[in-house]
Amino acid sequence: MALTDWLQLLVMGIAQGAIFGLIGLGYVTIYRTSRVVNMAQGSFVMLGALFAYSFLNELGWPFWLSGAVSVAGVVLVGLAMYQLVLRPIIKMSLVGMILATIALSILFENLALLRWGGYGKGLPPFTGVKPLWVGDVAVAPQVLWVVGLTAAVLVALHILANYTRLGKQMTATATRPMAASLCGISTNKMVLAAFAISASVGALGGISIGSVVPVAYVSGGIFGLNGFVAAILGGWGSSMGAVLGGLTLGILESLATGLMPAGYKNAVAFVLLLLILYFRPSGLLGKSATEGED
Amino acid sequence: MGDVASTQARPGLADRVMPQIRERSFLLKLALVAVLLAWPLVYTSLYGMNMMTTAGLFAILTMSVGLILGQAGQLSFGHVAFYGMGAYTVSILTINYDVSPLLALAISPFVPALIALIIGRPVLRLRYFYLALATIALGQIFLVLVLQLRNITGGEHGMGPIPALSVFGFEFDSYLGKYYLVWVFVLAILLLTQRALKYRVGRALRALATSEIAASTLGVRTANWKLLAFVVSAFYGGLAGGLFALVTGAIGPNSFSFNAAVLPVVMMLVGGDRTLWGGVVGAIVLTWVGNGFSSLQQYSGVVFSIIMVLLLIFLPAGIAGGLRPEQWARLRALFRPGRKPDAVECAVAAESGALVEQCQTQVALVPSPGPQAPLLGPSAPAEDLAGAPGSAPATDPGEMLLRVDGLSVDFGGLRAVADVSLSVKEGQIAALIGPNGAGKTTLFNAVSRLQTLSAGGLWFAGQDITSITPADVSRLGMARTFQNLRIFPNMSVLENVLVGCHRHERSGFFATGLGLPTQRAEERRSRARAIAALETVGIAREAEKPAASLPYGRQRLVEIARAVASEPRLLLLDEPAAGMNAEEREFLVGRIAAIRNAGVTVLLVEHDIELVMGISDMVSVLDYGLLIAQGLPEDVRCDSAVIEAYLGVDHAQGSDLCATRDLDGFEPEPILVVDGLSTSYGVIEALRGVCLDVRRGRWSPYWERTERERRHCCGRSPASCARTPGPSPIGDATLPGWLPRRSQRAACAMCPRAGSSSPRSRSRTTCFLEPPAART
Repeated sequence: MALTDWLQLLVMGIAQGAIFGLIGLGYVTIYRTSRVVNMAQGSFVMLGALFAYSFLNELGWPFWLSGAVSVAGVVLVGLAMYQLVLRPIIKMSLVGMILATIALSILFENLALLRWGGYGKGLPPFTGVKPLWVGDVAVAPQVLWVVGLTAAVLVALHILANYTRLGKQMTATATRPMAASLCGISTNKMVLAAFAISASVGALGGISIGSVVPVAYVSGGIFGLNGFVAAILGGWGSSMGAVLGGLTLGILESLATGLMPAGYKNAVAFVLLLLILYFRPSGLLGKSATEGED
Repeated sequence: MGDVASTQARPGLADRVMPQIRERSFLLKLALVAVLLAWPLVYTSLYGMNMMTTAGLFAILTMSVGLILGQAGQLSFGHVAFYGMGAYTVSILTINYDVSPLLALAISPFVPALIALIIGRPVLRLRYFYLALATIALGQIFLVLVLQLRNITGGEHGMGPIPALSVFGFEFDSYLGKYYLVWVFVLAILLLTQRALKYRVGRALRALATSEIAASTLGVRTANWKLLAFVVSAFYGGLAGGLFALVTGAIGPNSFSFNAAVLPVVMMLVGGDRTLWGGVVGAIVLTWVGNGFSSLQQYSGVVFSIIMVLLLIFLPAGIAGGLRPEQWARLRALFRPGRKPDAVECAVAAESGALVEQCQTQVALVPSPGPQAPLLGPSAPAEDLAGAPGSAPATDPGEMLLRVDGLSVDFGGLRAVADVSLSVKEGQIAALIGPNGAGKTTLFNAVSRLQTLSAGGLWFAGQDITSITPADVSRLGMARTFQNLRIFPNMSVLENVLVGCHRHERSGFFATGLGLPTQRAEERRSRARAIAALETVGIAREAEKPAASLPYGRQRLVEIARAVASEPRLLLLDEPAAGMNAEEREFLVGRIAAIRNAGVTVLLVEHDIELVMGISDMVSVLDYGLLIAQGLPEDVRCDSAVIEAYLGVDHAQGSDLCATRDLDGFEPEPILVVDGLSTSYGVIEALRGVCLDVRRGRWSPYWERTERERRHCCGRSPASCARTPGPSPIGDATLPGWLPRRSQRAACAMCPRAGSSSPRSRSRTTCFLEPPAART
């Protein structure tokens, strides 16, 4: 393969990686505040894209409005999911909680199958399809949008965590829920806020990737798994790490398709993941995966 | 053997603890086997038989999950890969290589077991969801390989037809034949594994599931045990896969997707993850339920996931697990309002000093035997101790048992322990004291090898232990307790103590599962040891209770008994008296002396100076990681450096704080009134009728015996505990039913014990759980 082909794969990888990073950010945001490992994170992406598709094509709303309402709808789903299901389970067991989120993702998947059928739905790109040419490498404008969106979300989360009252309250809840509650912070509201943020980030990801790859009911599981890998690659718990992990994963997966049949793509990603967990258990940034108790 | 009290207690206890209900449980098992074997003859529906065959396959798979997740507590989703490997082994061998189905089935579990053995060590170093992810990755890699290696596996089209199994000319090709084929394996695995889990194997796995640190200090080589569980789990998974291939006659990659990885975990949780029986129940129920919904066509997935969510919310312990203890307690209270208080409540009542007449005989502490009484009674004779495998050869009394040489520990830039050298002679009680943050526990952790050293050396019983694991140190004869308790809450008191016997036991998975005579004899010896250890600390009567149900002070005693049961040469006690009341402390001092007199050397860390001075032969004092004094108790007591470290130089000025501001007899208005406050954790009543009166502008120190009680009174700890309301007005508002957040809005702030940052808020009343001046 020529160099341009590799660069083309690199561009695709960056776009994919940015989405994985966005989903990883969703995992990290919820986990940091509530210690919930939300395996239904991918469903937010899937629902975001499918909601927007319906508003746009079935109700004929303008794209920006469809997008905005879709994000709001996914946020409602996220809030309901925590308040109705996870909150009663959260204190009982880690396994029960992870399973509950898996059950919810299966539920969302099946509901989506009933409503939207089995075929993938595409969304229009934000600003045209005419690619920018960098030398011989074509860069779709949507790729820039996706990367830009990820960067913007990362910056916004950083500002939220460090410069706002809500962010500080969330950080307090994340580190010491009981102490935070004794300081007059409603831990429940903070966890709800984290779910709302995660859901909206996921939905945005879905809406922006809709023009690059069609989104079907099964997409949630695939995106969710890759986002989870991204969050762990980056060192579970760090926002910057999640994005870096996502980019690493996206680029590696994309480059792997240049080396071997496309079917091996997932296996390559997971083999690399196992190697990284083995040689660098702490991920790219962050603390050890083999850490002790306490 | 002059220990009158314990010799009297022992026969009765042994009867209770080694239950005679063996026959009853045997009958139950027999009945189950009979029902499962007779069932298809009575209910001859082919559909039903087919369903039960599927359920049987899932039951094996669920047991495979139950072993690694339910017992060893490792969050693994990798069993679906093992299941698939077993299935593909059978189909590749029979179809591509014409191997007989029987031989293929025999080989099928060994392929995944071998792979688990190879990848187990690196993968099992990971914890929690890292492990979950690594095992998910394993499943995905397997799936991709199956799809890509079309020439061997048939790709997405799968493989078939797989010939039916035939044994000595009998073909397992009818529904009935397949049913029996699968369920014979289910029952064999169930009975074997269940027995293994009841004894040494299960104890080791459950111990490491809750605290690998505590398990390793008791001589459990945790990495090996996790690997064993993983390999056995893979073996079972492979067997289920092999049977699946033979029963269905054709396989495809769809059976081994990520959703297939989740299903057995759900079955395990639905049935209850405490026992393997639960997994079998869950597999049967969910197979039938799932199939019942298949008539709902496309809605089946929706209904199934909703039911899963509802089960997780309302029946978290599973069907076999039944209701949670507090749910039971509520039910019982509903039907029998006037019942006798049970022993747990009595223990609490005794601790809080309340007089509950029915209780007195139950909670009386076992009278301490004379100082020269042997530690272990007739059921565990002394020669047993010396001859026990794993215990190091005895040295003469007075010889050096532990030597710490120039030991330093750094945390980042902070030097927690700096160049400390000390030694403990055989037969001594040595104490390590010092103010908070002096590095005592860090030194303990370094000695028991939980903490890496920055510099220095350690010698124990003549061996260099600087670079060996905690489990191996324990096997040399060192046992310890922990400052912040590390009992195993998922086990009974007796089981906790039996984990202490682990290092003297040899039985592995099969010896335990089959109940070989050597294992039975070993178990009897261990039980005798454990009961003797429980009697030593005076809690033998509570042997069968869940360890988590005991009050704080008694949980400490369980930990001490657990360490004593390992029959150590050196016993490290980290603040053994924390959370005990005066009477318990006095009792504890007697027990520590008895332990020493039985030939065990003791090194203890303690805050209670009186306790230390009373029993120690030698005292070392640490301050800011430095050894500032060492010697006989009376010498250390007068050492000026020690006095300064403890009291500070200008402590006289500080005492002015205590002078109250109302010297003129003015009584300020009450700002917080606690009146008859009661609260309980499940069945344990933690507070009963507490009254407090805090007045404006006053500093109101509130002394109480145990931490938990203190925390309750001030903090109204969050909704996890049920509150029995009693009026407690703040200003003119009443607090019961408020969340902590709301009481803070009303300007009552709480500074929790160590570890939480202090609140920055405007408050009129500050509840400090401990006066800040007393802390460093």
